[in-house]
Amino acid sequence: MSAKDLRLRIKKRLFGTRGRRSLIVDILSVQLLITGGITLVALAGLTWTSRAVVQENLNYWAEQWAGELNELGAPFYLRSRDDAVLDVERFIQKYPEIESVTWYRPDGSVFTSIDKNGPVERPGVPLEAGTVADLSAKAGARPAYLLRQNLEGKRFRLSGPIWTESFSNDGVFEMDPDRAKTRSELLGFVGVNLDFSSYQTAFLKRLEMASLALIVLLLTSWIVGRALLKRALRPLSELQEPLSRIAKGETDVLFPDPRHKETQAIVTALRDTLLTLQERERHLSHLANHDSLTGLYSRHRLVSELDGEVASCADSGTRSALCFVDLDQFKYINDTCGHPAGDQFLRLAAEQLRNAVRSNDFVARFGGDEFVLLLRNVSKSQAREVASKILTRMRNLSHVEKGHVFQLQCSIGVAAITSSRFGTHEIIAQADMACQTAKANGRNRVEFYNVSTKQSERMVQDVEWMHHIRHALEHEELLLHYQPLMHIPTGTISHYEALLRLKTAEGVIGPQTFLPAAARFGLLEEIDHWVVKHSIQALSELSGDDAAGLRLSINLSTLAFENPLFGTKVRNWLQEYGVSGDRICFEITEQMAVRFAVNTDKQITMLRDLGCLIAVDDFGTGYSSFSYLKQLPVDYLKIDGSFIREITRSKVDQTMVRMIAEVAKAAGLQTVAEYVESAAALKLLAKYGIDYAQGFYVGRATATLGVTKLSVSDDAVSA
Amino acid sequence: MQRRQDAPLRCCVFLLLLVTAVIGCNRRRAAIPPIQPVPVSAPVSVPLLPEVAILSSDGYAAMAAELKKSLPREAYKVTSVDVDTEESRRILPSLRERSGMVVIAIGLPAARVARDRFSGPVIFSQVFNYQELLGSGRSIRGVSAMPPLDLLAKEWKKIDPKVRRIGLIVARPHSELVTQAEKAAKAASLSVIHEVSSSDRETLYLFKRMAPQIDGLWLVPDDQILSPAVLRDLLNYARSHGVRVCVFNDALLQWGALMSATPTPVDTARTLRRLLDGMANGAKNTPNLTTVSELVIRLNVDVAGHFGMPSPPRAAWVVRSDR
Repeated sequence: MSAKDLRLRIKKRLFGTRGRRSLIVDILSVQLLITGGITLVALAGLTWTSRAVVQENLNYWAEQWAGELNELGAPFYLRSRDDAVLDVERFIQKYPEIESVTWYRPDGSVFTSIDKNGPVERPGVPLEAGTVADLSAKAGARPAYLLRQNLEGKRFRLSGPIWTESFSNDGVFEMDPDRAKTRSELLGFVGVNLDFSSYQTAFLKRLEMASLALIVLLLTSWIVGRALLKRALRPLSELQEPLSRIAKGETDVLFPDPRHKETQAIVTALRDTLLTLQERERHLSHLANHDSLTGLYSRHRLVSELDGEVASCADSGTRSALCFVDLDQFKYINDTCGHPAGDQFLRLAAEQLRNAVRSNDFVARFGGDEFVLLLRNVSKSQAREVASKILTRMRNLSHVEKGHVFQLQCSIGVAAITSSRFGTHEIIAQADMACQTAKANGRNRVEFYNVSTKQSERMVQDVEWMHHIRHALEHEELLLHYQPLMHIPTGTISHYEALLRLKTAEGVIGPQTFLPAAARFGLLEEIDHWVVKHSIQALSELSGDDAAGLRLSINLSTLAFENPLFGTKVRNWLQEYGVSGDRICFEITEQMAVRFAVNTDKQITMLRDLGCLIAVDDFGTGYSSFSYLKQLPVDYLKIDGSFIREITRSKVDQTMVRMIAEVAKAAGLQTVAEYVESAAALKLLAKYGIDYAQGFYVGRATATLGVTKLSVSDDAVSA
Repeated sequence: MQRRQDAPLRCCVFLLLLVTAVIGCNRRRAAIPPIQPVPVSAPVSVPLLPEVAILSSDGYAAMAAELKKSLPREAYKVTSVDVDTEESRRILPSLRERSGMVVIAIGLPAARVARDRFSGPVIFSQVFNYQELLGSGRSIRGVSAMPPLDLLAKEWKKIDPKVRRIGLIVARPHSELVTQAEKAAKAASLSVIHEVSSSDRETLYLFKRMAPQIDGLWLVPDDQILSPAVLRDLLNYARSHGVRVCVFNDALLQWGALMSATPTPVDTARTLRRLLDGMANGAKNTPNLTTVSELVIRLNVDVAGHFGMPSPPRAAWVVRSDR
């Protein structure tokens, strides 16, 4: 195994496969470091201390031997006694560190030598002359002088002079012994060879044992510490699994009861957070499944509910009905009384519908002024009865607004659910068609879906478009083409509008062909998201000088802001692709703009906070008055093409355009003229102070962003 | 008339009281009880030798002065010379020319000078190693530097009843000192264990081996087998091993000896005069070495207490022989 493999294996063992560090390992590592450091210091201290002890011991023994010189020198001054050497032999037997004792004459020659076994036959080497001179000079010194010489290994030699001393004078009974004169006689030298190796070996052995014991203690403490720490940190490690589940998005998580005050705060905080998350999930789920205005179920929820009901009917053989309710003349009321009144009507209608059905029936807001009711397990007559009751309730409902009394009426189309022959969207389409029939037949009535050839063909077409759009969404067959906008005063291209296209076998087609089917089958939101995301992505991929400051306009459907998470999604896409919000301009209908002028919409606010710009598309065709211009949270007014196409010939169009331009300028808004198809039109627009021009004269839509070269001459734009 | 007759009596009584008071004050003032000389028999009236030369060496000036004081002027013509001074070089030759001069030498250096430069009789004192002075056939006699051993032994036993065995280490020339010591010890119910040493190292060596067998050590003032270092070691060893040591020099008490026993200068001077008088009278068979008759015992109270000895009434006292 190579060193690298070994390192990886150890790392995996310590940190796990995901490379995350273990708290226990970190703590134990610190413990190991500290304990190891202390052990090393202790061992170093032991080693140093042992050396110092040995050294001090040697010094101590040296002093001891100095005191024993009198005994050791006996063979010199006890020459008349035979037992003097024996006495020394017995003496050195008591000290295992004495290897041998050698006596030297004053000239350094060996007198005699003994070791533990007795007299040595080969006495040994005489003393060096320098040693003799040194020791001779120290004869009589107090304290007794010892010359220490290191031998190989742990052996030493202590050498000292042996001398006798006597008073110089006979009259010792009169003298002061401290000041009396004396005379010395050097008898010779004694050398004691000491071998502390066994002593030191034993000492070092004990030291090794102590060190080994320390290391074993260290390892034991590390192992035990690991187990104890793991046990102690179990309250924290027990939180790992539920936290992982929360990270995955699960909210049905249970936390173990805390056994420690430290973890209690953590667990309490986690539980509170979980409750908040659950509440938020419920809220988001509620938002996703309910219409915020009326409180009814949302279109999204309707589809999943209807899926289940279709399957249930198919399995059980029961019959249910889907009622498509469209409020009559709601647009008129909305435009006349304003959107707040319109919203109030919608809430009233929703309440009526809720009260008209049973508790197990399903009521949803389909969009705008359209509602869908799922009547479970009903016959045709029962469905008609419910529908009639709804009509009656609606007729009886009136609302006073600005001194006018408004009656609320509706048209209802009913489609039966009997089997799984038709899918959810087809059933909805059937009910929708029946509702269209009811409207066509005079409104304020109920019609059941009857399959006519034309309706059937239309429905088949719509269903085909629905499948085609779904396929396109899944397989990136939707396309974006980009049409340039020219800044009239400077004559430069600073702006593009993203235009949706669908690739088909017959070629690339525009949105007017497939968007109605998309709206019918609830695909507009997905298409909106696809368009916004890919537009931002296209901007991010643009580089070079052309990218600087280039802005892209994106059309949004009326359903775009039905999803409360739309603003968040836009923020995430901007962050994901690194595009600044001020390079995006969202084009909304005039109705949407007026509505947001009255009701501060969080999502519009969020988009503006991101730096995005808002443009009102097809301005001038709605019923909104100019007074709303002061309140419109928009940046651009795109003048409807109907005012531009004939501008060179129509005085009315000219006046309208000029008026819109002046009012917009006064309101601090910029203006864009669509359908500019001639130089003369461009010139007039420049004259009226219109800021931007868009149309075939400026440039056609292309598949690639940022490649359009302006073909308009300078003369065309000069006023 | 009665008053006139009483006046002389009153004066005598007054004088007697005065003298008694003075004598009593003198007695109380002395730290060491004054040594009252023991009345001795009056010296035999002998014809006065015309001249006596007192030779002393360094350290013996006091002894010389005491001796000179003991020799009356009307009886002797005394000349004192310190042989270690420059003046002695001038004086000694003139002294040598005088016939009939008796030299009293105090200390071995002075004794050697007396032996080598004078031909007349010589009396020495304060010489321990006197052997070299004798045996020359000349009239050389001496006063022992040692205190009377019999008095010492008895006194030691008196103050230290537990002592039974005494050690004695001497150099070879002092073997008769062993005999004297054994005799003196026996009289005091003591026994003597002795060793012969030839150096200070050997003295210490022998003492350490002797120590387990003895209670006390009689340390003799032999310069040849003693040294300051050995004295210290020996006294320390003795104290730590329960051996009481009797020394010959008061200064050794502070090194840990139990007691010191020294002759008194007065008694030494007296003995010297007796020998001088005997020489003058033609006395025969005078021993080579005459022992003094009194000694001073000084006790180290701390060491005595260390050995558990009963506290004596005084730390120093004089012991006199009955002779």
